[in-house]
Amino acid sequence: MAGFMSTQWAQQVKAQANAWPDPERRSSKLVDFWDWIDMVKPSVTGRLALSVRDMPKGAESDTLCLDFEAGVVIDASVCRRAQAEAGAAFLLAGSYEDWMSMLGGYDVGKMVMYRKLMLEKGDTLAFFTPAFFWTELLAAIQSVPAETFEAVPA
Amino acid sequence: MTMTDDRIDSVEMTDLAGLGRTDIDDVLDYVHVPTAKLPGYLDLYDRYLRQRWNVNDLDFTQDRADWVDKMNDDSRNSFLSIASGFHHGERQVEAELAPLFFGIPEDYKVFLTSHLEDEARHTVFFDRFYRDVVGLEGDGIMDVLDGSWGYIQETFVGPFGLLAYLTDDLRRDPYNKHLQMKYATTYMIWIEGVLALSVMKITLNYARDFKVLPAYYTGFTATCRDEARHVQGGMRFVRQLLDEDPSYVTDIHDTLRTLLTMGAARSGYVYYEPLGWSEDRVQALFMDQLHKKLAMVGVSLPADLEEMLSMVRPTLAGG
Repeated sequence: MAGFMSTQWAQQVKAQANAWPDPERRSSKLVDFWDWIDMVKPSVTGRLALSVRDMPKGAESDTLCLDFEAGVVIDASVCRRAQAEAGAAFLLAGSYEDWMSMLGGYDVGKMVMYRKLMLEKGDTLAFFTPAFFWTELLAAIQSVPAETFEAVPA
Repeated sequence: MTMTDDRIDSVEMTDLAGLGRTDIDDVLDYVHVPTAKLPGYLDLYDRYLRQRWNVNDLDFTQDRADWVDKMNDDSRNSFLSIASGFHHGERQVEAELAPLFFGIPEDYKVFLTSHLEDEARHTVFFDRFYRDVVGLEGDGIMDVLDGSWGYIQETFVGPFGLLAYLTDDLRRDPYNKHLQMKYATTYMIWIEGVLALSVMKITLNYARDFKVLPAYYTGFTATCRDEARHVQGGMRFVRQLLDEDPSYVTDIHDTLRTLLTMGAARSGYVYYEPLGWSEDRVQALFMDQLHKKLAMVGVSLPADLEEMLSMVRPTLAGG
């Protein structure tokens, strides 16, 4: 299993995001919903950085960078937040504990609504225009297994 | 249609018990006043002092009996699909109001204290309804909210997530009037003025027409009257910002563009028919409510937003 916030995990996230949704997920929602996702995809271009504020020791990095072109992940990598932030259109950040909750199955809608992930860079209206594209992306990330670390901050 | 003075008096002066006999359509009409007649913030605060009600005065015994004996699985499920958006919505609008206090006019600050107290009371009202009538259990407010989460529409997170993130923007920059306008558009125009008033009409019409859930009807009608004050205060604030600088209208339009884009998505069906409604009727209600709110502040929609509004799928929530 790839380590959380490792290069290998980032590549698995990229593959999963581009293959999303799986048949089970697709059939759980109306066709209208996926049509809506297809409608907003062309507007999703640029870098989304997803960061852990208090990453424990042992991780390769603390931030996942996903570069999108028309809703497709064309590059995925991990790096330090300062490096990722400069080129990111949007940066979402949360605590390690909240990231672990999400990877453990915590509802991705609640991750947003209860600000477990906060938008720390980027225009809020622009971010929310394709809102459900992002929640589906979080669900895709959630479904990629990851080896986690002892919660001792670095 | 303009309300007659005696109908306005009837809504304005009635106590909690009397609201159980008040027609919800009168309360909904009571929200809408022309720009020139929008009450001042201190008038609204005075009205709050007269209209405040005690959530613990409600007795849900008959509601529980109706829930079990008079309603069937279809009507219970449809009701929960709609009411749960309010259960969560009330918590959200309560939790997200505080950062607005810093940068608004002094008189509005006074009124906003009452608005916040109302939202806390509405949260407790729904907590009581879900415990005493629906039968959910939990140690605190959040446990019961978690219990009804499965009933809300997935698209709920669109407007309420946007509100949460705009709240955070406002917390960081509370005097930024562009942000205040985006926040007020999301909170007072869309969530309170469109979503909430639409959902109130659906569930309260159902309770009235089928003669069920009397304490729910009473408490939620009182909630609706509270919302009338919040919407009128919010519309006054929006109008004040526009008077200061008419270019803030761009913030209203930009925010609505995001809300209406999200509003075109739906992930599952809600069956309105057991409650006597249809999706087309609900959509028409949304459109009407938005036009009425914008008329209160003297703003019109450009053609692209009118077209987007006609594509909106109802998100059944409010706060």
